[in-house]
Amino acid sequence: MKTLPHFTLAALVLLSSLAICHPSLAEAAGANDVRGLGLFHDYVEPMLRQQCFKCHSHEAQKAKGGLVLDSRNAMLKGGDLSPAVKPGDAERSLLIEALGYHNQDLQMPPDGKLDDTLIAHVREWIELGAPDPRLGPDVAKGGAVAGPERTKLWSVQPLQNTPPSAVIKTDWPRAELDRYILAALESKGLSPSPDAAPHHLQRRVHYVLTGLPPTPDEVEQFRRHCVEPASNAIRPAAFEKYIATRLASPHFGERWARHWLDLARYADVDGQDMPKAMPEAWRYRDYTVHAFNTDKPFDRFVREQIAGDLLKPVSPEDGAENLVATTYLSIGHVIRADRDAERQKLDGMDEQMEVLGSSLLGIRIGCARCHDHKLDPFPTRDYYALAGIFRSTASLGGEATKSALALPLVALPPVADSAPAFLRAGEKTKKVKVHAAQEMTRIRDEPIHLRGEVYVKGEVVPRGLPTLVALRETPRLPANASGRAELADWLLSAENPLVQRVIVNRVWHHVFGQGLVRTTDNFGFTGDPPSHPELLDYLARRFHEHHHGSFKSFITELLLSHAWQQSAAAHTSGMERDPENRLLWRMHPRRVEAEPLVDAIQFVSGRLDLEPLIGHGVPPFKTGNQASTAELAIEESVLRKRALYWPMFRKDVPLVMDILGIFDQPPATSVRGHRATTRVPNQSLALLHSPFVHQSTSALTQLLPQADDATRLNALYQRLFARTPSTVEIERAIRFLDTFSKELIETRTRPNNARNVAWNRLCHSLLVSNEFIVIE
Amino acid sequence: MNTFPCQRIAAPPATRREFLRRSSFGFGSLALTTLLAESARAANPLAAKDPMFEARAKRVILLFMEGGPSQMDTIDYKPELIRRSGQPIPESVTPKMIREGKGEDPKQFGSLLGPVADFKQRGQSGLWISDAIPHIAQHADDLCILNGMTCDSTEHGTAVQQFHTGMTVQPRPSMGAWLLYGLGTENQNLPGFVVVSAPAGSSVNCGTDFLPGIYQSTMLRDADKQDSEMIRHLLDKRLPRKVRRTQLDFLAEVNRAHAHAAGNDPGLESLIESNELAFRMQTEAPEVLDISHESETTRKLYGIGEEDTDAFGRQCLVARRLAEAGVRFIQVTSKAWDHHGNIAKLLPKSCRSVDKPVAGLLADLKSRGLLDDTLVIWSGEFGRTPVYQRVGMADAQKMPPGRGHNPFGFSLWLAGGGTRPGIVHGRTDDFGYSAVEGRVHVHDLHATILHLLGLDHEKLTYTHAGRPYRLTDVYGNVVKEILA
Repeated sequence: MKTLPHFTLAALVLLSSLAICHPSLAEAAGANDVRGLGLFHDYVEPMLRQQCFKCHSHEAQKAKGGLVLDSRNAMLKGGDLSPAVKPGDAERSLLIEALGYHNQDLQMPPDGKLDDTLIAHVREWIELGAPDPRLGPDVAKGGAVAGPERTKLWSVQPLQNTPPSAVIKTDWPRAELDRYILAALESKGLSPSPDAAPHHLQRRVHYVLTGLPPTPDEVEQFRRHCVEPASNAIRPAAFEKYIATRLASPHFGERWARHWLDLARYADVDGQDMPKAMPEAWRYRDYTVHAFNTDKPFDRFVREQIAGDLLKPVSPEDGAENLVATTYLSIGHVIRADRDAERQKLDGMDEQMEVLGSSLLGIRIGCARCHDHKLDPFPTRDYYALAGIFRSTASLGGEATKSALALPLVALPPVADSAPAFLRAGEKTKKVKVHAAQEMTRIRDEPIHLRGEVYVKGEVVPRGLPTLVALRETPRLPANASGRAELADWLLSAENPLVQRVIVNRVWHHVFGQGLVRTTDNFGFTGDPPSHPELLDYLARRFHEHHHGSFKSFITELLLSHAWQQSAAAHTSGMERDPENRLLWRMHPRRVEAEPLVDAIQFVSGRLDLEPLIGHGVPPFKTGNQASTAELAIEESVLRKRALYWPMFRKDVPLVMDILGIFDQPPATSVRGHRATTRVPNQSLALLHSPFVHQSTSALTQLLPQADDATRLNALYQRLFARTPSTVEIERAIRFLDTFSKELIETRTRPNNARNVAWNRLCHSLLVSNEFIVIE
Repeated sequence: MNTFPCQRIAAPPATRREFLRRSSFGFGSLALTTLLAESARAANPLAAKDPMFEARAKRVILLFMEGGPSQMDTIDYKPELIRRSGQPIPESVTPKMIREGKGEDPKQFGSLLGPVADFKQRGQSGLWISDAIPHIAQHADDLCILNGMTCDSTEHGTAVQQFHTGMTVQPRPSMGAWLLYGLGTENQNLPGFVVVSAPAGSSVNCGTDFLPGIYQSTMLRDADKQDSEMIRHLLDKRLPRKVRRTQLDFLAEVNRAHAHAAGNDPGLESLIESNELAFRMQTEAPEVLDISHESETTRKLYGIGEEDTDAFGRQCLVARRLAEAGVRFIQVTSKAWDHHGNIAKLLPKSCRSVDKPVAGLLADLKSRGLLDDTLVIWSGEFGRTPVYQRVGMADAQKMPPGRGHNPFGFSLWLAGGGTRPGIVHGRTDDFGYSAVEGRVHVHDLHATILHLLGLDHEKLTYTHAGRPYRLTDVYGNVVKEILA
C-alpha cells in the first residue's frame, strides 16, 4: 500500500506557485495539462530517469549526441539532431522516432525496445503539449529564478533605534513604549481610552499571567492594596508588587508553556494517522513549564531546544535538562501510511525546518523544498543547506533511524532526588529515556531534491546557514558536527533581527491580545506589516539589551504600561476610525482561550486540582487505519488538572475533552502562534449543556454561603467577576430566581426544591455569561 | 508526508473584516471597496446566498463507501473479464505503477477474477448493474454512472482525503465547507453541513482547514442507533423548554447589559447571537433527527428494523430529513468496503447493508419531489483491481482472494440534482483496470458538483497565506456530458 506519484505533488507545487505570479498561466492549466502532467510524472519522467539519464543528462560524463533530457529546455532544444520533443507533434519528435525502433540508425534505448503501452503514453504526452514541470538543474543552483530581494523585506532589516515622536498628551505615557503608542494615536486624531476598572484590570492580570481567575481573597487583597478607595486609581508600586507575586506563582509557567507548546506542535501521540503514544513527551511539556517558571533567558531556552545535547553540562541535572529540551526537534507529526522510509526522513526534516522557520523566524521555509521561495527570500539552496544539518541529526527524520517512525530514545543521566520531576525516573522505571536529538555518527550534506522529489537529486549543498540574514561573521560549520550549535548561534545573534522581532511580537500578542504584527508566524512578504514598526524594534532591543531575554521582566514592563491598562470598552469615534484597534485606542477584549476557559470553570467551582500532573494522561488505546480515539476514556483525576496536563491528541480527540477543540484549541500539527477565535453554536451548546459545565455549576452552587439572596449573589459575583453586583443586577437576579422557581412549580418540575434549582441555573447563567468568558 | 509545503500555516482570519478581505465569490476586490455594504453578509456568514448562476441542485447527499467498492462487481460490466476469469492478465493492462511495485505489492496479485455477482441490464435505460445491489438496480433510470473515475493515490488515507478535499496530503477545506462558504445555508435553525456518519480522519476530511470555523461540519453521533444523542450537547433534558427559555432570556439580558457597558462591542453581540442559534437548534434539530415519527411504510422502505440494513437505513432516513429541512451538505458513510480477501462473501454482505437503504432514499426523495434539486453521490475513494489479491494472511492460500486498491479506474454513480439520468459516462479497459475513455478525475468531479450547485469552481476562491485557494486547486473541468 505504498503511496503513489509523489512526483505529482511536486507538479502541484509548481502549478500552485505559478498561480501566485501568473494567474493567467494557472487558468490555462486545463485538462490537457493535468492529464499531460500526470503522464509525465507516471511514465515519462521515470522512463527518462531509468532509461536515458545515464547517457543524456547534465550529470552524464559526456552527453551523447549533445543531448540532455533532464531539463525541459534542454529537451526542447535537442542535441546534435533536431529537437527531441516537439510539443503537440509526436510524429516529428525524435524521441518517439527513437523509441519506436523504426529507424535503424536511431533506436533508443540501445538495449531493447520499450513496452508499446509506455511508448503510447509518451506519445500522448507529447500530443498534449509535453507539459514538463522541470526547469532544469540550473534553476536549483539558485541562478535562474531570483527570489524576492532580501533588501525589500522589512523584517530582515537591522533593528532600528528610532525614538518616539513628540506627543501632545505628555502626562499620559508611563513607560517609553506608551510614547510610541500615543504618538501613533495622536497622529490619527485618536486618544487613548480611560483606565480600566480595577476589577477588569485584575482579571486581565490573572488571565495573562496565570490563566486562572482571582480568588475572592485575592479580589479583597487587590482592592485593599492596589486601589485608591476614593478615586479607584491604581497604586503603581502595589500593582507592580501584585504582578510580581503572580509571576512567582508556578501557574505562570503553566500558562506560558502552553503558548510555547502551540509553537512546538506538542502532542502526547506521534502520528496523525495510526498514532502511537509518546510516553516521554510530557517531560518536554514540563521542561517548558519549568523554563518559564525559572525565567530561563530566551536565548538559553532556544539554544537548549535546538542544540541542548551539544552544550557542556555543569551538572547531571543540567545535562539531563538539555537533553529533554531537544525533544522539541522530535515531537512533530508523522504519517504512518507512507511506507517510503527515505521520504519519511525528508518529511521529518522538513517538518523540523518548517517548525523552526515559522516559530522562530516567522518565515515559511518549507516552500523552498521544491522551488526557490516565490514569496520570501529563501532559496532552495538555503533549504537544503539547512536540511543537511537535520540530516546529520538523529531526531525526527534523522539518518540513524530506520524511518521517521522509529525515533531514537536517549537515556538521561541519573539526577539528584531534588531535581524537577521531569528529569527523574518513576518509581518503577530505573532509567529515563527521552526522544532527545543526537549527533549522527555520519555527518553528511544534503543534495537538492529537484522539485522536492525524493529520488531526483541535484547538486549536493554544503551544510550551512540561511542567507536570509547575513551576519558580519557567519559561523562556520565544522566538518565533524551537524552544525546545530552554529545554527543556534546564528538564530540568537544580536544581528539577527528576525528572531528578536518575532519573539517580542509573540509576547506582545499574548499580553495585548493582538500582535503588532498580527500574523505572528509570518513575517514574510505575505505577512501583516507591523502597526508600530519603531515600537517593535524598540521592544526587540529592549528585550535583548535591557531584559537580557527575561520573559518575566519584559512582561512586567508591558503590564506596567499605560497602554495595557486602558479600558477595553468600545466607543464610536474609535470604532469609526480604527475598527480593528490596530493603534490600540483601547484594550482588545478577548474571549478566553480553550485552556483558561476550562481551567477557570473548574477553578471557580472549586474542582480544579492545581497540582501538576507528573507523567502523561494517555490511557492505552488501539491504533490502526480504522481505530479512533474518540471514545477513549480519560481518567477523571487527569481531567481535574489544568488543561495543560490533559493529553494532547492530533486527531480524534476523546469526546470527554471535546470542549477544548470546540473552543479552538488547534490541532498539534503545525505552528499555531495565533489561535482562531470562532463563535459557533457548538460553543454555546457546550456551555449550556455539557456535563462538564453542569458538574462545575453544581459544585459552584454548593460553594455559596447559606445566606440571603443578596449575600449569596455578592459571593458569586466576587468569585466570577472579581466585583460586587450592582443593585440593578441584584434585582434582576432575584427577579429571575422568582420567575424561574415559580415556573418550575407550575410545570411541576422538581417543585420541592425549585429555589435550589433556580439558584443552580442562576450560577450556570453567570458562569457562561460573556463577562466570565471575555477578558476586558 | 509533507511533500506539499506551500499550503502551510493557517492563520485564521482574526476578524470579520479580515474574513471579507479573504473572501471571493468572483466579486473579490469588490468586497474590499464595499466593506460596509457587505458587512451584513459577514455578520451572518451562514445566511443563504445566491449562486453565481442558475443552480440545478440545492443540496448534496454524499453516500461515501469508504474502503473502495469494487466496480467490476457492481456497476462496471466487463464481459471480457467474465470470459477470461482465472486467466493471467495481459501484461500491458496492468498499470505501470503496479508493475513497478510502486503501488501495492505486485507479488500479491494473481490472475483475473470475474465478478462475484451476475450482471443484468436494467430499466428503460438498459444500464448494466449487478445482482449485488438489486434494489439500487431498480433505480437504474435515475442513475448517472461514471465508469472512468481516477484519483491520485492507491492508499486509503490520502485517497479519502482527496475525495473530500481535493488534495491527497496537505489538509484543505472539505467540499462541504466550500459549499457552505459559497452558498450559506437555507435553514438558520440547523447547521448547514452535517455528517451523519463520519469517514476516518473526519477532522480533516469534514473540516474547514483555513476556511472560517463557522463552516465546519456538525458531526452526528450514533445516528445508526435508536434514541441516541446525535448532536453533542444538543439537549438539556433536565428541564422543560419553557423554563430553559426563561434561563436563556435571563442570560441574554445579562449579556446585553454587559455588552452595553462595554460599548456594544460587535464581538460580544455575536456571542449573544450564537447562544440564540444554539437555542433554535434545540427546537428544530431534535425534531429533524427524530425518525420515530416516520410511517412504518417509510421505515420499511429504508430497511429499518431488518438486521442487515437497520443501521444504514436509519442514517439514510436522517439524511433525507436533513435534506428536507434545508441542510446544504449531508454525508453518510459506510465503512466496510476494503475487500482484500474473500470478496465473494464480503462484498455482497457490504452491498446488502446499503442496497435497500440507498434505494429507499432515492425512492423517498423522488416521491417528495426532492430528487430534482438534491444531488446524491454514491462513491468510494477508489475502486478495486480486476485481478485477485491475496494479502497478509499467514495461511494465505486458504483465505479466498479479494481485490487490491485501484485508483486508475473506478466507478461511482450520481442521481438527481441536474445530472443526466440513465446514462453511463466513461469507460475502463476491457478488464476494468484503467480508465480509457471519459476519464473523470476527482478534481473534475468536484468542479462538476460545484457547477451543479451554481458555483464556478475557478471563481469560488478564498485567500489564505497570500494566495487564493480553490477546492479544485489549479485543476478540474466540469463534465458537461453528464449534465441534464
